[in-house]
Amino acid sequence: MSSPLAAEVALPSQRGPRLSPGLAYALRQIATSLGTLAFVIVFNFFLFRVLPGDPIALYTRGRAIDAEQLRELRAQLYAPLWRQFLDYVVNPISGSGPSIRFQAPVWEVIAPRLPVTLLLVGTATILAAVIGVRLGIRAGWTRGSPFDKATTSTTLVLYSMPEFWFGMIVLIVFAVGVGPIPGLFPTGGIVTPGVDVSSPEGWLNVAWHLTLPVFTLTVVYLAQYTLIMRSSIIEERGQEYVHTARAKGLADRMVRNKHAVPNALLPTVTLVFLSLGFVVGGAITIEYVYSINGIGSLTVDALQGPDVPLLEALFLLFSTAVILANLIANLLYAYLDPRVRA
Amino acid sequence: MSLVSLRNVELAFDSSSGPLHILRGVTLDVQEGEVVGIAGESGCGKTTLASTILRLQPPTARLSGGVMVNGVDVNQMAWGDVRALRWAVGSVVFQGALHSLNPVQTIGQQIMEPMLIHGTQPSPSLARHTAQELLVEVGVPITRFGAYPHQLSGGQRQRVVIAMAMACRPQLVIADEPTTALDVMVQAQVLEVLLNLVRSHNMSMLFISHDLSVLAQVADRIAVMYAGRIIEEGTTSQVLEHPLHPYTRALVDAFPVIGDPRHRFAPASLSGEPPVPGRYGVGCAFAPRCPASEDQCTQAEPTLLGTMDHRVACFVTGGRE
Amino acid sequence: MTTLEFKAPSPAGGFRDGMRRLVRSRTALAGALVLVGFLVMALTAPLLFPESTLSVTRADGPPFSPPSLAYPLGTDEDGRSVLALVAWGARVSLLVGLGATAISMSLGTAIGIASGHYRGWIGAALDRVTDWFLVIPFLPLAIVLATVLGPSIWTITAVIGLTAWPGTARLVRAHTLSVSARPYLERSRALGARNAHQMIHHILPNVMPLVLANTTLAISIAILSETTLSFLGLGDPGSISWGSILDQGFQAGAISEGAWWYLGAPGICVVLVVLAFNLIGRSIEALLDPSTSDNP
Repeated sequence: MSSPLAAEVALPSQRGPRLSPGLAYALRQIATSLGTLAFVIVFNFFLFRVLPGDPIALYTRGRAIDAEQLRELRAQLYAPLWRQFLDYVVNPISGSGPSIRFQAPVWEVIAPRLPVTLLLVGTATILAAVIGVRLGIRAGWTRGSPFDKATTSTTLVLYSMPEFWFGMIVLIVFAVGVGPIPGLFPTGGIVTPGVDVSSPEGWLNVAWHLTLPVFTLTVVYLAQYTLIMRSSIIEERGQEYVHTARAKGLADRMVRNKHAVPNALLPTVTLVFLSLGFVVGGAITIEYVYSINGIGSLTVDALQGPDVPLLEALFLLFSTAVILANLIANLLYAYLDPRVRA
Repeated sequence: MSLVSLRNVELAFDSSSGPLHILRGVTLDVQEGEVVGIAGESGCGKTTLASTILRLQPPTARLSGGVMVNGVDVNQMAWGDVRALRWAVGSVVFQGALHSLNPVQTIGQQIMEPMLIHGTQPSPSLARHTAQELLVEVGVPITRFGAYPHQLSGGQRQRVVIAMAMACRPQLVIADEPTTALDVMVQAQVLEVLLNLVRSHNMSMLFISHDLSVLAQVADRIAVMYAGRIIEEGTTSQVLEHPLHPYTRALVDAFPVIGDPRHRFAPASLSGEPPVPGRYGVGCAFAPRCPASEDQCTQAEPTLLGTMDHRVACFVTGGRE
Repeated sequence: MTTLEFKAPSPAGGFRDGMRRLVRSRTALAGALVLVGFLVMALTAPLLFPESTLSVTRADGPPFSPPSLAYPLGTDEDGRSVLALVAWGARVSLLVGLGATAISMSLGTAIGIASGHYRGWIGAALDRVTDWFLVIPFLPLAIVLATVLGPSIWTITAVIGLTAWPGTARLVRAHTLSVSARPYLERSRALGARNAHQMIHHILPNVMPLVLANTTLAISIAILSETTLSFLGLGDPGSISWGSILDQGFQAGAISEGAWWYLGAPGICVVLVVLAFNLIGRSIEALLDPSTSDNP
């Protein structure tokens, strides 16, 4: 029998100036994300310039511009490709030029609208995650039960629904009123004109306006998260350590909460972050339907024209956000799972 | 009174093509301080049998017969009493320690957990202290207390599982193939640890293995299972030195005696395939593969007959030396 | 050059048995019935509702009127029968859904097999490209592509096909990798079979069941995507699809008019068709991997 005072073996990281496995993993992930970002930037650049058609026409479709602007545009678009590319890469956000429609640098157009979108999407995502996880745990743990069957069927139907359509139906029923149901909510916008947003009364007003869109988005995201958590728990339920926990005499709820859930949350957390692409899509259409002045409806507006520089910038912004979310997902997983951690 | 008393235990599952009879009338006793070995191939029902002792059989299983622990029928107990029984009266050492341990909890936490649940240690700090002592007893360095299962070697993990099983000082340890997944050298060490602990604390052990050589080292008595029934049972020396049932004979013969010229040429393997678990026909389940089978063997199922020290269920060899 | 006879593993029991079990599944059956119904609707639309009934100038129904005997699904802002619109819409919605999926499935399967089969830089490069496209969020990418290509249903079909292939490619690649490790491929390689032969004759049949299950789910996503893109006005202004009806209704103020039939009908059609494909897809998945089935 070895003595309890056995000398501790020096861990690899203590042997000299070498990167700990955790740090190496993090750097690798960051490098991969930067690589993807680089691809997106290059892709974005070439998309509008290399495809068939007269680039001038693309930039000025449906708009009249004067000779001076035309000359500038020509100089910019007909410059040698490598020159354009360098200009763009150096400054991707503004590299595509000012917004045609708003006649202002794209960032000035985008920035003020960002907080609204973050408020809408952030609230919905958090609510959906919290509720979805709880529903998923209960449904998955009692797989086959009436609760599970009801949850799964409902989720399946929600999954089959275009989220903006659900939003419109919600609007008709709760904002306009159908039959005996009165319309209790505003039909759009984020605040009643004239109300001071910084006052508590203003906050309530904003909350009242946001209720229906947040409700719509939450329900739609909920379906996704419930399904993810449910399969995660079902997977863990069949594992041997769960059997061990039962053999130790733990009650069913404790087995679930103290053993299965911590393990099941790992892939769920990752998948929640990875579903940001889906979240973005929902934000765009719902803002449009509810006339909420965020970057989602801005994207739809930019389709008029089309306002190409603005579209390019928004595409870059959305892609960057999703790449960042993926990076966070990978790093978070490594941090939470002791098997991957240094 | 026996510590564990199984009386004519039958267990069946429902499947889409009819019931599967996994246990078909098993009667077995485990006394205090006794090590009983259960030998058999996979599918014979030995793990399922062991699971019934702590009422760990799947809820979809239909069980009949008596499963008595300290004289009380486990299946008649209130649910709370069953949970109190688990780990405090009887604990389990599982095969495959990596999967039997929670990957995201430290091994220290997992050893402490049953102590806190069952209240065998009044405070967390005392539980921690006891857990560390247990680690010492099984030969794992205390520095590994905060380690996660994947950070330990296979042998260390198995020792942790043993320490965990000892946490509430149970009367009975059910060891289900505890060393099967280990290298031979590590196997010997782990067996030694387990046996020492069991003996020094006068615990009983139910040791399940398909490996007779391992059972030869640890068990006081051996029961050989085949197709959901015990077909031979007795003291270790009786069963291994004078095997009566043709199946037991084949198992014992599979271990060549080095130097014995007979074993160099005799093919020791058993012909045929084990029957599909749960679907057994009329008559002795071993008859299709048995070199000594007669007509009567396919018509009725033999019962266990013999003395306390040695019983066998066989028409042909039963009751004879 | 013949390779040794080896049956690629198929779902337990083979194809015919699989079909038999599929038919027994009530949900799959219900899904199939719904789809047949909509297929009939799409095919008979020109007969039941001649193109003239779609003309805005010739429509004679009262605008924004709720469902009645004359107009079972009510009318739109111009007095056209919503039922006629929905029936015609089925044609484009289904066509685009199926067409786009055909593109994404072929592309995804081909790239997936190639990236899983070719070791070395080709496989790695394909895998990397798949990764990149997987990360880019769908709607912004689709919007940007559709803008460049101009509004038409072919644009939408191409856009959905070009954005949906990475999902399939990833799945197929993983399966190819596991299949490639199997001994019969080693055997055929040892006998000198060329890459193309291996990929087509060994890997493809093995991957097909997975691809088929994935196809029904891909179709449902494609139909949802088409609805969204048409709703945003990226489709052909002249053609009618369920998404474009929703766009039309939204622009015409159906919400403030409380015209629930106008927006409800096309939406419910989408939900029914997508749900049907989802149910069938899940049944096929359960067949291939019983552990995922929710039937005990």
